[in-house]
Amino acid sequence: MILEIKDLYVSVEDNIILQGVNLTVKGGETHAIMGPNGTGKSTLASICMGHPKYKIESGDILVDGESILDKSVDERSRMGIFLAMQNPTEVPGVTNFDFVKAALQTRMEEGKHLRVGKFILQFESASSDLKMGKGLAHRFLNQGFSGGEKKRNEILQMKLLKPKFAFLDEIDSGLDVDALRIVGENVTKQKSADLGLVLITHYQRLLDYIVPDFVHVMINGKIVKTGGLDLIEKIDREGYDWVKTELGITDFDVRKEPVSLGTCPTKTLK
Amino acid sequence: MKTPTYLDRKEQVIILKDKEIINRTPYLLENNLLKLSGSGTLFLYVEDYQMQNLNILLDDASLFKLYMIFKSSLPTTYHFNIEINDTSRMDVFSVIRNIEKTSVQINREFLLGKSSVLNLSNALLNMGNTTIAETVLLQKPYAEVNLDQLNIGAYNDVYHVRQDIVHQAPHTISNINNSLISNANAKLSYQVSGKIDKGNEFSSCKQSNKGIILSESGEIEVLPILYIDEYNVEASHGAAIGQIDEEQLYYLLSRGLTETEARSLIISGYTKPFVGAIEDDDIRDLVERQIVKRINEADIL
Repeated sequence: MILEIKDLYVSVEDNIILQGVNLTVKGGETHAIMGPNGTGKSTLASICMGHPKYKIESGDILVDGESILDKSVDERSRMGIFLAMQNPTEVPGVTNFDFVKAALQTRMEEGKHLRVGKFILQFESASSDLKMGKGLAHRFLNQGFSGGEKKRNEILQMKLLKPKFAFLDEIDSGLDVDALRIVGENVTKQKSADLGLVLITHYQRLLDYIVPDFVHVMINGKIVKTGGLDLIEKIDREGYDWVKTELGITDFDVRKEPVSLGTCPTKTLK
Repeated sequence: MKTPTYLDRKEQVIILKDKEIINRTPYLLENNLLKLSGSGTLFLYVEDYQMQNLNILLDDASLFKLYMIFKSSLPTTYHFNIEINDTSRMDVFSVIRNIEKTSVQINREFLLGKSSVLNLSNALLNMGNTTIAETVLLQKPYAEVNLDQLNIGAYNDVYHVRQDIVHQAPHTISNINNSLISNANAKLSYQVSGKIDKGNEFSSCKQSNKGIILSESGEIEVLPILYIDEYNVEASHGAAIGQIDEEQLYYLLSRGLTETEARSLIISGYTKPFVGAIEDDDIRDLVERQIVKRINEADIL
């Protein structure tokens, strides 16, 4: 089980965001990607999921040796890729229960049906583990959820869908100390040889609960440094400037061409 | 007379078909006047009935559920006057569907007495040309109307709907929620108005119109109007019409649902709160089947 990102260049609206990313994630490994704001960390997760907003200029993404670039978002999900989103979308009128049930049903072979009784028990158990309350199944998907509830709901889906590779995009933002611990413990419990994890975060605190095997620093759309737990401590203490200095990196200069917005209407006084 | 089998299971049924009337209730239907009193549930089935006006009167301090099921294969015009007397409540659930592409016009006027409540839910799921005119007159203080309408247009359907709520007394309340879906070449045109005359203070007049267009050539047009001639009132209106939200679609796709499954789930989220509120199992099944048909089959055409 292996996910390979090879020399990946990605643009959005003619701006190059990723500039040659290389990353290999094997089953059982946990990778943390850290970096300043706007360096392409979330873009990397979104492009692996297949978000249509981004354009791949060159490079490849492979799962077990097979390129997934021609796969649609839903095909990638069914292949085992999962993205816990930074801002999970609200879908009014669709209950959590119906949504997860549909997501599991679609993974089953044609003609086979989900055992609903068993699924209800699994759903309630996952909901209880994440301290989501008993009414979660009947609440509309993410609608009216607090920031913390939305993040925990992402982890609940991950628990039930059992992906092979999961990207957790700033899953710690909006979580209080207790919620962070609950999320951290639940993710850690899922660690196994059948799951490759990629954590995208700004802070050490998440990594206290989900201990990574590898820590990567991403700057200007590229992974510029890889290390172990000592790297997290240094970043937490000193920020990213020392990385830039050490590697001679200058800040991204996005060249913007001036565009005309048209002219304002004018009024002539006689 | 051939009628839907589910009606055989109902205790109180009135069938108006072609030129015949079958009244399986203890309530009198004479000279086009149906008088209701006390409490109960009544099914009024109307199929190609060639008639004059039908008047329904709900007596004081009564509580009634009225299911009005319209089925048409011929061009037809129906007129109803429904009077709800003081301190009474009527829950009206209407299913309007044609079995042929034809023209149907339904005009209904509701007159509400003091402290009366009208909960009006309409499922518009028919083929052809449909013209609906609903007028609700809140004639006495503390009268209240709640109107929920689900309209799914498909094929080459054309709908012209007019909803007029008139607050004729102080302390009156109106809420309108329209959920509209246009599939294939359907065209839905709505004029929704709320009017509060001078002197009818402490009244509340609210309307919300939501629309999803599922196809390139579908159309939804909503004209929300408020006529307010009194300062001390609450009033609001709005219309939000668009295609399926791309971010919602992406979110569902990212969990493995195919595009068809994801669209279907988003639409079901749109219709489910309405369908879930239908208490009668047979009517709920009928509406659900029609929704699936109009969303899925119309795409093929």
